[in-house]
Formats: sequence, C-alpha cells, structure tokens
Amino acid sequence: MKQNPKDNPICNQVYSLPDMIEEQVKLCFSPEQLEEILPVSACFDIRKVLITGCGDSLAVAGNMKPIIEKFCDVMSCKVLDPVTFTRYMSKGDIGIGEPNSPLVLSISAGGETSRVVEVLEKASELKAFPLVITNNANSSCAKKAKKSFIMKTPKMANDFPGLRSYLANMIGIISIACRLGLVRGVLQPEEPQIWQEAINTYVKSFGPEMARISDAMFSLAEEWKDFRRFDFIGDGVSLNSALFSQEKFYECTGSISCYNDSEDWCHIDYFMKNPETVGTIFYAYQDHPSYSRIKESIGSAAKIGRPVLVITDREDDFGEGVKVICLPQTPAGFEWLRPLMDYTPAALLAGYISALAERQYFNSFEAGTYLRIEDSKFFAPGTMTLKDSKIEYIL
Amino acid sequence: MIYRRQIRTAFNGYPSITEDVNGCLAESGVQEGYCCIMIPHSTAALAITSFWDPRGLDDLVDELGRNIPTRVSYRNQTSPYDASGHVKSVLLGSTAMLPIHNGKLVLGSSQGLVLMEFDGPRTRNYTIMIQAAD
Repeated sequence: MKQNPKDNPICNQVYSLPDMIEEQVKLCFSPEQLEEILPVSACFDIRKVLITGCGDSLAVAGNMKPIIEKFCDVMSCKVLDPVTFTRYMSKGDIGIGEPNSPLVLSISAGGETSRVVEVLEKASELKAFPLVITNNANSSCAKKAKKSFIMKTPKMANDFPGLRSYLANMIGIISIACRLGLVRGVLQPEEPQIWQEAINTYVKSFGPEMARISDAMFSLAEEWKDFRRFDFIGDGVSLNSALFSQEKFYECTGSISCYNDSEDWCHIDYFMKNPETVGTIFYAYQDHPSYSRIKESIGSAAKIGRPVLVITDREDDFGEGVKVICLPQTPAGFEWLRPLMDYTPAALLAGYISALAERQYFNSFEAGTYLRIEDSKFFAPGTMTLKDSKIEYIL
Repeated sequence: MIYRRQIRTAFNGYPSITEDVNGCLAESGVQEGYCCIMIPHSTAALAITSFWDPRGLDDLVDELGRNIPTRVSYRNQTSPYDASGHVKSVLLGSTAMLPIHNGKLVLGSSQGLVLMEFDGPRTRNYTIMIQAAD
C-alpha cells in the first residue's frame, strides 16, 4: 500500500513544532542552566560574539545575529563559517586579548561535526570562550567546549532532516541573548518571562493555522512535483530562511536549489533557462526596508513565467498568478521572532514534493518508508566526511 | 481590613506610597489602631524617610549602591542587580508597623513611606493591613 504523502518525517516535524515549543522554551530558559554556562562574571567578560556552524546551523547563526547585536551590548557579533574561523583567521583577526572573549557560539545538534569540533579546539587553544549548543552531552563537541548548552529537544521518531533541532537551536541562542542582556543591564528583569511568553504565543499561533498552510502547500506540491530547480529569495534576516529552505529542498528532493537576496536574484538567478519550470519562492514582509525591491522582483519573476510562491504575514497585491501564503504575525514588538517559524511552508512543500515525486531523502532513504538504504554510497565512511574529516586549524 | 496594591517602579526608583496608605486608612474609618505595610518582594524594600527633598532619596540610593554595589562576585548568579538587591532588601526591611491615632498614621511631619526598587523596572505589590485597636 502506498504511503500517505502527507505522512512524512519533515511534515510531521512541522506539525509538531507548536506542541514542542513550551517544553523547549522552559528547558532553554532554565535559570540554573543559563547561570551554569554563563556565570555573571563571564557575561561581563564577553566583548565580541562569533556564531558558527555548518548547514542548518549557519542559518540559525544568521537568524540570531541581529538578536545578539540588539540585546547583548557587545562590541560586535559576526557569523562565520567554521573553515574561515579555523583556517583563515589569525589570533589578531579573531580579537583575542581579553579573558572569555570572544564568545564562540558553535552550533552542532549532533555534536560530532568535524568542522565544529575544529572550531572548538581552536577557540580553546586561543583561550576564547568556546560554547557549544548541542543535543548531545557526550559528543566530541561537548568534550571540546568550555561550556555545553544542552538543548534536550524532546525526541520524536524519524526527526530527519532536522527541523525540530533547527527551532531548538534558535531558542537556545535567544535564551543566551536574554541572559547576556539581563546581566549586562540591557533588559529589564521581567523580560525573560515576557520573551518566553512571546515565543510560546508566536509558535503556538501556527497550530490552528497549520491545516490551512499544509493544504495550500500540498496543492502547490501537486503542481510543482516534477520541477527539478528551485530558487529561494529573502532579504536581510529572511535570507537565512531562504538558505534553510534551500537546504531542505536539497535534502528532501535532491533538486537544484539556490538562495539569494532580491537584488542579486535580479542580476543572476533571473537568467535561468526555462523559467516556467523553476519554482521560485520569496520571503516578503512589509516591515522589511527592502520590501519595495522584493515586490519588484516578485513582479519580474511572474512576468518571465516563473511559478511564484510568496511567503508573507500580511496580505498584499503581489500580481497576477502569484501564489501567496500568509503566516500568523509575531506578537507586537517581537518581529525578530519571525525566523522561528517562517520556513515552515517551504519545509512542508519540500516534504510533499518529495513524497509525491517519490524522491529519496539524502539520496539514501527509501521513498515512502524512509528506511535507510544499507549500502548507500552517500553515507559510506570515507565518502561522507562530515564526521570524520581531518581536524586541522591554524593559529 | 486588608488592601492589596500594585505599582510600576522605575530602575532604582523610590515611589512614595504614603498617599495611597492614607487613602486606605480614610476608607477604613479606623480612628485608633495599627497599620501594617508589607512588600512581598526580595529585591525591593520599604523605607520611612523624608519626602521633602528628593535629593535625600537619591543619596540613599547612591549610598546603598556604593556599599552594596552591583558587582559580579555574588554567589547569587541571577544578575548583579538581583544579587545586590537581595542584600539591600534585607538591610532595609520590607515591613512597617505604624500606630493610627485620630484617624491618621503616626508619622513625623517630614516622614513618608517609600518603596525602594533595587531590581526594576517591575510591577510590585504591597499589602496594607489596618487593624482597629479594640
């Protein structure tokens, strides 16, 4: 019997997010855990913050950078890919010189990614403050870090490709930002509670809307299931949701996927051949400073024949033929929470396209059953090198 | 009679609650007795001090800050404001018991009741209990 295409690991995870959020927020905002990983003196030591990770984690980092900048009173916050940190940056470039600074926030849900281990080793060697955000307290990353922030994300069966961990890692960094902001006197004492309520309210607001969003994405997946190319476009912080969406499309559908901002998309991706076969997804929010440019790009995409989906949270006229999915709005004053959930339509779409087109996740999982193909070359030791790559760093 | 009140404080604020307590007393109709004021928080305090010159209250806040500063070395790791606020709160106290005579609080002419905030801004509660003498 054929598997129900709506019952697949990525869509099941999307559906689970409103139910998991309260527990995850409680775990991440636990005062005991935050005080243990970031004692008051360390909070004051931190001058600069670097956030790094691979794949999804780099999108987490990009989403969270503005929050660190806004609430933590640090001199700077940079997002770096691990290789830049470990191989291309000198001690001086990194800003070593004071104790416990920079804070090197390294994200690895599984905790075994070689590049992140490498980051933590170099940060330790330089006497910076290596802190890992992970779900695995016994991992190599946890062993190398000065402090480990264990997410303890509630487990569910078939939680791959990682979506719950993506949300959990963002919550983890938000709670760190809240801790730093509170101790350094940027945030008022009641704000940790207010933040937790805002996060819970926002994520839970998707619960009653999930069927509507899911049905719309399923209908679109039926139209787009044979496409092999997708573009994701977002500006500012939404570029990270575009990146994450691109990643899910690679993982679930194996299709060529690109991400870009609305300006460069017009300069580059716009020229892809056979535009009518390229699924094109925009993130468009009215409070973004580049909203007018995003709308121009949406118009251009539609006019050259691209099938277009716009992900937004306020109705607007995006032009004829453009499909629009409108998401719940963030609580007032908490627009920066939007990345917690705005990737969900794209994730659902990836899951449905994969199921309808009978594609294999990661080229290695049976369509329909999601059981790993035993002899998949894509996961063969020595071929897939995410966990056994040579550790090397340059001081 | 018991009255429960809320007030929004400022950072290092010191709002007077004297007028509100007098209002409760008038409403109660008690002429002779006792009034107990209680602040149920561990990083705020209740002080009886002069309200004529606010610079005196600024001095109080400054001196408390100098003697119990918001430093990083407290064992309490919640935040420097929270940790020092606990100490300040204990030293100043959080209750006052005042006599009532002829329907008025027995206070000196320049004395008033001040809620001292050490970890604000916040919404704070206080309770006023008025007991007739007989």
